[in-house]
Amino acid sequence: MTLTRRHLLRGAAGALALPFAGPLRAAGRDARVLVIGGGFAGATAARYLARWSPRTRVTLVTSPERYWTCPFSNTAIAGLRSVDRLEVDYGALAADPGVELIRAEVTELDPVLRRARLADGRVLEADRIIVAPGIDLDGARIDGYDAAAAQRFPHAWEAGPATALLRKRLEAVPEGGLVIVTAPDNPYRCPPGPYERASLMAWWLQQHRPRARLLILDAKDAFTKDALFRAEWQARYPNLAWSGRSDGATLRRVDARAGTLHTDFEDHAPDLACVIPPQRAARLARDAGLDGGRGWCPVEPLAFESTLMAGVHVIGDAAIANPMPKSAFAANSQGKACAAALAHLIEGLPAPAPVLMNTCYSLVAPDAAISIAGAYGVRDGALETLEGTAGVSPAEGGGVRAAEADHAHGWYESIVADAFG
Amino acid sequence: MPRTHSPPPLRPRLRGRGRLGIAVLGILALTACTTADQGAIAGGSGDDLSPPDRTERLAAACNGCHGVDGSGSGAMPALAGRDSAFLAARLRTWRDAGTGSGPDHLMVRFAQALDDTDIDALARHYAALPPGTTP
Repeated sequence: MTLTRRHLLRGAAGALALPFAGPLRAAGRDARVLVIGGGFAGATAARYLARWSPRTRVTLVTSPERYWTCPFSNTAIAGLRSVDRLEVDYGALAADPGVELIRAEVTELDPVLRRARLADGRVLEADRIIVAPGIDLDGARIDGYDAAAAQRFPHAWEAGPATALLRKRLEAVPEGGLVIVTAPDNPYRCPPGPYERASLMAWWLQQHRPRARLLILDAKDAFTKDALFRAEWQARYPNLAWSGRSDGATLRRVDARAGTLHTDFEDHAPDLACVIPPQRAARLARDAGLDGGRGWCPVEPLAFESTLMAGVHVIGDAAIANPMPKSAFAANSQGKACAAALAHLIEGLPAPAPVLMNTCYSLVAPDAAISIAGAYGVRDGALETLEGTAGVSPAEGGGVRAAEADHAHGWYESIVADAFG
Repeated sequence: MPRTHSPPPLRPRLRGRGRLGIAVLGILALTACTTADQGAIAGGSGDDLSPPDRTERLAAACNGCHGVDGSGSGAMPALAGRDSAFLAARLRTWRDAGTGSGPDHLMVRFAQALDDTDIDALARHYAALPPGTTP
C-alpha cells in the first residue's frame, strides 16, 4: 500500500480535530483491538487488555520467526547463559483465552482504515490498532555499513543467532588482541546496553585473554549511569578504555573487507568489533506514516495514540516517549498504560493519568549490577519524570552491587513472565 | 497535548454490575492463582467490566519486577499474601527516607510517586492475594 497525501491529511485531521467514529464498528458489538508486534510492549498490551477489558476481542499478530529477549542477552555473549535460555515461549500467549495469537508477518498496515494485511493474504480490521514493531538498524549514517559489515562487525542488537555469533567471535579473539564496541548517539534501544556489554566482554577477556584490550568508541560524551560504569571499570577492568564524541570517537566509516573502523580522529584494526549502528522505528511503522518522516513515532502521553493517525497507538521502542528510555521495562509499562487507556476508552470513559515506570539493571560483572529507576507522569500534555523518582544505584557499600545482581536475575524472570506469560 | 474530542463508547456500557463484578473478580483472582493457570493473567476471564482503577494499574507496574500478581521471583520479594500493615509501613519508610543505600534504592524512588491513599490501597491489594512462591 502506498499512502497518499490525502490519507495522511485525513489521518492528521482525525487525530487533531474530528470526533473518533470507528468506521469498522457495528452498533452493539464488542470492540476489536489488533496488536502488531509480540515483543515486550505488544505482548504486555495484549495480555493486560484481555484482562482489563474482557469482552474486547484482542488479536496479537507477531512474527512466525523465533524470538529471543534482548534483556540478558549480554550474559550470553560472556558465556554466562546459553542463548537458548533467552528464547521466548509463546505457548502461554497461545493458550490465553483472552488473546487470539497469530504468528504471521504483517505486510501492510493501513492506519486510516485500521486494517492490516498478513503475508498469507488475510486482512484484519480493528477499531483500534496498537503498533509495537520495535526498531530497525540504520547503518546509512556510517559510510560503508552494509550486510557484509553487519556480519563482520556483529551488532547483536536483536538477540538470538546474532548473540551466538558475537559470543563465538569473542572466543576467537587472540591473547593480546583488541576488541572494540561502538555505541551510537541517542536515541537508541537500551541506553545502558553497550556499556553492560562492554563490561561483561571485558570480564570474559580478563578471565581468558588477560592481555587483551577493550575499547569503547562512543558517539556521545555522556551516557546513562556513566559515573557508576566508569567507577566500576576503573576498579575492575584496567584494560577497558572509553572514548567519546569530543575525543573524536564517533564512528564515521567501516571497511568490512579490511576489517577496519574509522572515526573522526583515527583508524582502528581490531580483532573483533561490535558495531552498534544508529536505529529508527521499524519499517512497518514508518511505511504507515506513523513517524511523520522523523524516524520515530510521536504519540500523546495518555493512551500512546499516534499524534499523526487517530485510532492507532504506538508503544515500545518505536515511540517517542521521552524522558522514558527505550527499555524492555518501559515497553512493558507502556503496554499496560495503553491497555488501561483503551479499557477506559472502550467504555466511553476518558483515559486515566498513566502509571509509567522504568527499571534497568546492568551487570558490570557476573556478580555485580547497577540500576536506574524513574516514574513518569503527564504535565501540559507531555511526559515528565515525577519529582524525586529518578535515580541510580548508591556508591558501593554493604554488598549493594552483589545484591543488585541477584535482583537483576529476579527482575528478568519477572518481566518475561509478566510480558509473555 | 489535550485531546479535543472524546471517543464514543466502542460498545454499550453495561450498568449496575460494577460492585458484583469486583467481588467476582476477587474470587476469580484467588482461584486463578491457586489452580494451574493456562497463561492468562489472573482475573482475565472475570465478569468485571470496570476498567482498571489506579490501584490495579499501580500493582501492574509493581508486577514488572515482583512477578505476576506479586508472586515474587528469586531475590525479588513476593508481595502477595504479605501483611498489609507491613507492606504499608515499608512503603512509607521508603517514601519518607528520600534516599537509599542498598538495592532498595529503587523502592525509595518509586515510593515518591505514591500518596497515602495509594500506599494503603496497594498494601490491601497484595495482602488479599494468595502468597507467592518466594518466601
